[in-house]
Amino acid sequence: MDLVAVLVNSVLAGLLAGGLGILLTAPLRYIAPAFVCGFAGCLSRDLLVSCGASQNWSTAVAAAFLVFVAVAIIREPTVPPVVLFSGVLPLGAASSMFNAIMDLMRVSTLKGEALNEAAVTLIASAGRVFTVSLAIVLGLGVGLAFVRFLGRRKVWEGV
Amino acid sequence: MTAMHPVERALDVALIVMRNGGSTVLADRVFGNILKGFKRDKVPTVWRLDFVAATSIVEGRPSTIYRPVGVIGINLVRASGAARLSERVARGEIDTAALDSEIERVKTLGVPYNRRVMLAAGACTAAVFSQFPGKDWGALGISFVAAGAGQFLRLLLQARKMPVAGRTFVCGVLSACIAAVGLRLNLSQAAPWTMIASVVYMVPGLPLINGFIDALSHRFLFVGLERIANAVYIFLILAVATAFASTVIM
Repeated sequence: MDLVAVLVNSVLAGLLAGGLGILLTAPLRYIAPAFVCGFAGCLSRDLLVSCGASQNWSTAVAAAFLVFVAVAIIREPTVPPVVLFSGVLPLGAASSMFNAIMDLMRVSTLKGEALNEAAVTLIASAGRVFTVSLAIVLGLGVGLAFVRFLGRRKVWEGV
Repeated sequence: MTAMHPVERALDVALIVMRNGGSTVLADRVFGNILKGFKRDKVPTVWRLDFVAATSIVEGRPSTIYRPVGVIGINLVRASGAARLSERVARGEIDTAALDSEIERVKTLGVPYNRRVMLAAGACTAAVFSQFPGKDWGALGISFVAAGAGQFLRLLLQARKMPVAGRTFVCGVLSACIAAVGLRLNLSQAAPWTMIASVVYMVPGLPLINGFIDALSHRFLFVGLERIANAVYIFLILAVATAFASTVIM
């Protein structure tokens, strides 16, 4: 396990989450929580992957963990979804989404072997978008259900 | 005071939420809170992305009020301010007579970050995103410059109230073209990541967030799906802009 690489990646994810928080005009007091959530989510996923867990299950567990982190660090009756989503977006499959759309545009003009290759890439990218998104939704859902069950904190109804 | 007055005031506050990037779930809760402050039961309401309609009984007859939603922007401070205002009204901390001035105060709340901060955030977010596959100074520099230029143009066009689709395409083409020039000059080898990073500041995060919140609530399933469809549309525009720049320059 390359712990330094995992940490560097997690810090990058935290910075990305903080930057997205600013771009989404989240109030200033939520930028640090967004950074921590992005960091914690990426760290937990990468650690699980390093320990041999699959990418999708690791993403699901990381998304659930991120909910607990957000609830722990935000001392307000409601946890704003903008923090959760800024934190969870670095776990997402944004590049696969772009690749899938670009492959979709390419397959209409290709022929022969190139068409076969592009079609396989398209299916792989679309499959990755689907499974990673599903893992994130599943993880967030489980995390939110636990939080509601244990502490009855509201999450979705804030900004 | 007519019977419609509380409903109108409640719609005013709820629309602040809708117009500034809040979810429909939150807007509906705000609507209910304001009515609670007026000691009124919740009235039947139809929420859509283009208008909101609420029905009330005025002098024994049902009366429906429509309000257009208009352009949906992003100012979560204002949306958050409207939500807090509604909670104070529901708790009786604000006299309903003083509500109009409070609504005006919330409407004037600005974005918490000035242009320079938004510009820096866009450029830095892109630069950070470009580093995920591995350390690549070329990709970092290209993404920073491309996203910075695109974000600068985006803020200018936003101030001129250009529609979202056109603005996204124009800024996407500019950012992707700058990134493509950098890649053509062999400043980086990570072509796909650099191209995507250059437009990542325009990824429709908030429509996706609100879309999922609305859809998962079940009560606003169609509004949620509409928001998600809007987000996919923006993704498609960004992909077309990126493909255009790749084809023309690379």
